[in-house]
Amino acid sequence: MGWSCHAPRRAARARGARPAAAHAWTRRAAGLAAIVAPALARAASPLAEPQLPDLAYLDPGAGSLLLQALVAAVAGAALAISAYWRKIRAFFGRGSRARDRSDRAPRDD
Amino acid sequence: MTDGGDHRGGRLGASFRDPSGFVFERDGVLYRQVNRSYAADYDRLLGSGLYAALVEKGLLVAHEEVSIAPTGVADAYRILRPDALRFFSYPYEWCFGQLQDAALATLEIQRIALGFGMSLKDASAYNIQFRDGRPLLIDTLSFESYRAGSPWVAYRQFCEHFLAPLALIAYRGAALARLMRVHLDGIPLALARSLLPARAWLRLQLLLHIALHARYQRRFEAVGSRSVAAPTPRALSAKSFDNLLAALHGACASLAWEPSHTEWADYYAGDSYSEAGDRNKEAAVAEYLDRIRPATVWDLGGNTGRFSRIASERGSFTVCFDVDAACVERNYREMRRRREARLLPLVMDLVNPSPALGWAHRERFSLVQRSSADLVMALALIHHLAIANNVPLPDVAEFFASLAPHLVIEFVPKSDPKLQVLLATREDIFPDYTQPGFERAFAARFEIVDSRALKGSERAIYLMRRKL
Repeated sequence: MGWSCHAPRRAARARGARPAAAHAWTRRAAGLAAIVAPALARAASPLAEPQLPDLAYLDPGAGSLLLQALVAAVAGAALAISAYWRKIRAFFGRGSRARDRSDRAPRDD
Repeated sequence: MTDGGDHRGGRLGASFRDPSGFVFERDGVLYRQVNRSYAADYDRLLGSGLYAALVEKGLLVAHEEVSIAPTGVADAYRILRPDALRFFSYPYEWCFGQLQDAALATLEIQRIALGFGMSLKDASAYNIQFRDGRPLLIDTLSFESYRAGSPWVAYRQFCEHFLAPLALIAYRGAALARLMRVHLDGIPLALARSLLPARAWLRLQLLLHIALHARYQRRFEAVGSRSVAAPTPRALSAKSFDNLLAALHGACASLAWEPSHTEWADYYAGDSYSEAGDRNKEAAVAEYLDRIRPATVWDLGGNTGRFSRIASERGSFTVCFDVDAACVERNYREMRRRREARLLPLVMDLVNPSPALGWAHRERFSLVQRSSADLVMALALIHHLAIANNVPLPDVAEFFASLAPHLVIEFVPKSDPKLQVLLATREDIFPDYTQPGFERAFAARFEIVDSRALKGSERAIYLMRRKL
């Protein structure tokens, strides 16, 4: 499985200009979707799985290690998108100011 | 703990699998031996400041290095005496909120550990205990030096021990918490995947960490055999590791289970008992507790903990058991809200209590093996055991006598409205279930120290002491 979604990320980081990277964003999102969507579709599909021999000798741990890079990439993308979304909302002056103020309020919990 | 195991130098249950060290008991005190193979990681845990940081936050059990003779196992590096715990509970005895808090504490510990260049090599729910109402990591040997770029070796265990059962309870109900009693190594993700409804996959995090994870396990499980080439895991950058932990945190924190529409949670709100009768009962319980001054109380069938709190507020460490997960959940939330340190609510079915489990029955202790109570309370419980579950009264007395030297017990006569409901649907085959019959049955194991009728009902409450 390829991990091409990291290439545009590296390129964007090299340019070091986050606000100007809007087009990189869309490329990144598309690249990610191309990898993730089929995997997710397979994960959710109820199709019967092939029988594998010698269950006692199989180790389900390998898949757990391999999966993490993908999961972290998706999580990172989700976090970045939500951060980006907040920026857009802030640009249109929606809600963020009130939230900033409440964030700064001292916690007495 | 009353596990024997002398041929293993007093080594206890679950730690036998860990090459880093093990727990043993000597003269009633629990110790943890650190083996030489773990020396470097142990020194790093203390030297890096991680140990101090976690202990200060109340997330890791504190310990003292002691110089007692090791157990005869040659490669002892250090012997630790961890702070003692009043009671060991297991994840299959926790309510949803407790499992969730234990999961979030585990992620928090891992996040802090990464900052000190270490990582959890285990994310077992059995490594967490509740102390002073808060989750606490008790396995000091869970940490290893973190190698930059390596994925989290405990990721799978975290999903199987925490995320899968949380999702199953959230989507399918508290009954599925009992799956943890069957699967001591965590709920297999393929099983969780098959049990969760399709709408669970609308949550991206569950789709990734459970459904896709199960797929990946299946797909790469034959790695090492001839047919499947071993792909190398991609390096996981520090940032990606953070993202992974944040995603797991979000996945666990966003799941919810509400204790509603259950049998017992509305018990006090109902008309079971007059308010005057309850106050009368509270006064009697308080007086008995003041007379015995127990260090530890077990409240059996304790519902949402109303009477447990009489004990815990008097300074007794109190475990409140109930069969109904909704009651335990409410009790736990109330405990957390009031920051009560001496109360531990747990789910326990008294007619099928936690057995000894695992390898050679030594990994997880039965309820009776863990008995540490000075006093057992059994209020409004006897009829559920004797009538609803057909347990003969002498057997009930025998069981209570195996738990503690003192007993505060309420007798509920057949004339009681609640018992009338029970008897309405079954044949009355309980000729001995009378107040004199009850006293006779319990006299075999206990002497009656005091008894009184409860005003506003035909019930009676007793203080008993176990016969030697």
